[in-house]
Amino acid sequence: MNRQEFIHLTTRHLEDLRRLLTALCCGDRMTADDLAQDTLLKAYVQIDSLKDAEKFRAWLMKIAYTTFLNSRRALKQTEPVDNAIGLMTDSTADNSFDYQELYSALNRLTPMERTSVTLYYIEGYAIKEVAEIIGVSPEAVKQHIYRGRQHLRTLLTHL
Amino acid sequence: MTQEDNDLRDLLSTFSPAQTPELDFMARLQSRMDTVDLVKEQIAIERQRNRRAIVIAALCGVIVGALLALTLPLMVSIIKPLIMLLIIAGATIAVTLAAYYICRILTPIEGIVEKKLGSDCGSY
Repeated sequence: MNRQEFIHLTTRHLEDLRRLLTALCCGDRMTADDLAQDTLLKAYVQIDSLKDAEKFRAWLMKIAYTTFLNSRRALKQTEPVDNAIGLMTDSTADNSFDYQELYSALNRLTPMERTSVTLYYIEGYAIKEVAEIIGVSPEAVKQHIYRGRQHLRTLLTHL
Repeated sequence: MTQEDNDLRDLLSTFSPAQTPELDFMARLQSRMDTVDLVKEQIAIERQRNRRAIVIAALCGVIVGALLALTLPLMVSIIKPLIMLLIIAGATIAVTLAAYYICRILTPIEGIVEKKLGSDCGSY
């Protein structure tokens, strides 16, 4: 695959990738965009290892998940997510305020629950596909989604 | 599935946060990809240099080894055979290694000369 083909595939799936990372980063757009950049660069370097171009989206999501986990280990974020969202809405007029409660709730899930819920509900992947992306069994994914859903129902007061 | 589950599913499935402009994002990405391409190019050039040096060094080793072996009968009558064999083996290895390192040194110089000639032509 040459550079132009890679750019073309990237453009098709860019919105999905950024949306996933924004949810995983609980609304911190700057960090999400940095992680998206790192994900796409890693994908570009390893592009020859992808045998089937049809699986590009799932493969990209897997790299994004691994990149997100590595960044958490490296940074060990302790800043409350509410502060980050406050800074964001000050700098740009956007709809992040609408999702403030959702981001706060997502931040209280474990990384596995958050990723499983995001990939399943937001990105629309099947259980088996989510399992392949995050590297666990489908049964474990079901557990994470169930627990994540229970937590979100408790935390999201307007439901 | 309860109503709460349906409401949660609706909320998550319509999740669509605003993003920074895609053009800005892609411009930044392309700039970083240019750097990756540069590094890949340098690695490919380095691999080619190594391959060329190994081939030339191997040829030198074979030629010197053959020459020394052919002149062995003459030298046997003058020096003891064991010492002669050691000299032949040592000389072959030394010439092979020398040829390899000389090629590795000369190839960058060749590249610099080519670039200089190219830039001179480009100034017209």
